[in-house]
Amino acid sequence: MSAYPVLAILAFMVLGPMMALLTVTGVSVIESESLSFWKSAYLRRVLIFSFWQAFLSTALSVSLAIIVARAFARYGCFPFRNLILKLFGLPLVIPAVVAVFGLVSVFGTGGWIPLGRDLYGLNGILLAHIFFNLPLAVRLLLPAWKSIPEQHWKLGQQLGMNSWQQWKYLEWPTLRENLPGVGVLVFMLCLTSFAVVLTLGGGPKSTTLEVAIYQSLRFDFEPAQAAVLAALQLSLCATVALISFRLQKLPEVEITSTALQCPVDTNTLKLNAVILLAAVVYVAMPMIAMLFEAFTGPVRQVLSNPALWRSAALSLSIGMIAATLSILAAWLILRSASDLYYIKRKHKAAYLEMAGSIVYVVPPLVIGTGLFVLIAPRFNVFDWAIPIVILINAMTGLPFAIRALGPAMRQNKMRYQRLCESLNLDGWNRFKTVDWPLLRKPLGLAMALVTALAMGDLGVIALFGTPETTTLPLLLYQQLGAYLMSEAAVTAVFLLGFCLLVFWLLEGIIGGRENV
Amino acid sequence: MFSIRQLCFTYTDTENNTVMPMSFELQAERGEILSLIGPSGSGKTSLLNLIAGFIQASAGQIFVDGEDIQQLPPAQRPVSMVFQSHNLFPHLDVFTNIALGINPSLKLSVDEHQSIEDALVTLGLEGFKKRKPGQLSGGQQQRVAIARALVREHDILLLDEPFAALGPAMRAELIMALKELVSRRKMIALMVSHQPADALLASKHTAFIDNGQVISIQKTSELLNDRKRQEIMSYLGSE
Repeated sequence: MSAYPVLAILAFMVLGPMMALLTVTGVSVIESESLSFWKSAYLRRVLIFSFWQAFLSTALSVSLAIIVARAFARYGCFPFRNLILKLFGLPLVIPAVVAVFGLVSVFGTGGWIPLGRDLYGLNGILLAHIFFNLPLAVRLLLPAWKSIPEQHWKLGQQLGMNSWQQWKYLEWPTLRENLPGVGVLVFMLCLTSFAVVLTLGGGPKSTTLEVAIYQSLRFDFEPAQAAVLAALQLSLCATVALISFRLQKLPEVEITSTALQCPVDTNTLKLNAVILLAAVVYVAMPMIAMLFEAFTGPVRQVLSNPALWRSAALSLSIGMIAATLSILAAWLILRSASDLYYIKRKHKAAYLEMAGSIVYVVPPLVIGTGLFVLIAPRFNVFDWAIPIVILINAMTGLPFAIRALGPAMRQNKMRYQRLCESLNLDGWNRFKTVDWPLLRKPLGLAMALVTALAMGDLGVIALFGTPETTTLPLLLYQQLGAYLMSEAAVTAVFLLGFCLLVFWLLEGIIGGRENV
Repeated sequence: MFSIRQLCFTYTDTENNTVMPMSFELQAERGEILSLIGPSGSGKTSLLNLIAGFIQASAGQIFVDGEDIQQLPPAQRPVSMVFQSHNLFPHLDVFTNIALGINPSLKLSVDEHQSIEDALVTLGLEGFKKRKPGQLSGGQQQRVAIARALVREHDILLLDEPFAALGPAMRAELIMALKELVSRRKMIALMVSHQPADALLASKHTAFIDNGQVISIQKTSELLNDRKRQEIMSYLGSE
């Protein structure tokens, strides 16, 4: 089976909803009522706020990440380096709504650093986006320091360069190549951030396009208005994706514990230690606060609630099915791409891989809105909630699966294709003896990652969810909305633990524990 | 006069779980290049790193004209080093790459400007000063690195396989140019090389290093024909 059926399904999943959106938007533009919406102060405010919060979040996350990554790179080897790197990987798998709860436990009324009502609105959104994107940017920027040749550090030492001169001649020239790519990625994530703005946004003043789409569909019952907003969001994302394509240099995430041999004096070492400690505290504090609140909360009552277990089973099913679909699609796409790489048609192969990342251009909520508009006139959309959520989560996970599996599959093809041909090794025999041992580790990682992401997703399910189709993140969101904070604390920790357990089990069972 | 006395260092390779104690004893004359040859992993580059101060010796002394430089930080040692690759900062032009050798803040006096111009002429790089390293050939890049070492006016020049990536003709040309410069400026130069032919061309004397020790310092032609020592014979592949 080739990649083309997968591409056809992807195209249908994107183009179908988009056509529906464009039709509704086209009709609505002619109507005078919708014309006034185009020109309304509300839309202008939503647009400006979407951009402003994404810009501020990116600027703060990336500039703080540079400081932390530099401290990390220059501190050298220390006992907890690997552990901190793993901690910085956690925000990637922590469900957004859980992290929000953690931040509320720290900065909310009665929290350790109470901001009161000031938490809700731009402040809270920025705090949450920094929580998610600072560790991500640190992990993306760290390899820049590792790519500085050892000889340059030695030259710097020999020429007597001070810290500023080392930054100017050695570090900045390498870093600036990666900064635009990292900046645009973080900007895109903040622009399409939904759960954070939904839970921490402070009413109409702090609404982004994504949340406005949700409100139009779920509260105002205005599909036409939602279509206009979705079309706007689509064009914004397409523009940012286009820019990102031009600046596509994005380093591989650092997963090793090796440190560069960069000599620093004692004072710099102390300063680096303080910076690292501050970053670790910021990332760990919400989780610790949440754990603290959960263990003093009504644990037995929440855990004995059948709704919690129903939601957990539903979340797990959605996660596993979405991940399986995602991996299958990624496998087919990457197999065709590897064949193309093998016959030196690199550009075509790269475009094929890129097609799998279509959700970067068309956000899941926009696809969801399109499907809503497409299905609503014919069927009851809420009856289709689970299949739609699974399909969209599979699409959302596809770029992660491609990124995790791609290098290994390509390498496997390039290195062993000729050898396998010469040994007449193909089909099941090849899979059993060559492909599986070499690919099970990235396969395990991809499966674990996509499952955890889908299990923790509060995006499309918020659009289509009903009391019968309540996933764990939606249950948590409902508890937060009803100010059942003690129950929410237990649910949040349960959800976090559940996601991490599933991640760990899948990665271990599929990926195996020994290094291949 | 340059000498090293009982310079000790323990090399630890955490990846391969190996530990190699090293102890060096060496002398070199001003005005000539002393070649260092020996098998891979024998300690040649470690010796240069110890002299430059990039790694710290556990004991021993390094004397330059009777003064021990062992306790000095790298920037204060009278040492310039040229590596096999990555000698130049790719985003800076030739002039700036050389100027960094004089003052990293790039605040240069008129005389210092002139010394860079002179070094460019000496190394045959006139007309290249505005070029970036990427616009130069491998040989020209190494010339720039040597020019930077010259403007620093330090006594000791360490060369870590500086010509390994160059073709035979270019290598011979650069070695001859370097030999002339070292002789004229009365510098002390130590050159790690894997090519016995380079050692023969560059050096009156060559040191053979194995297992973290200087096994022998002899006239280069004699060392390359030494049939008495098993280590040298197996390195050179002599019968």
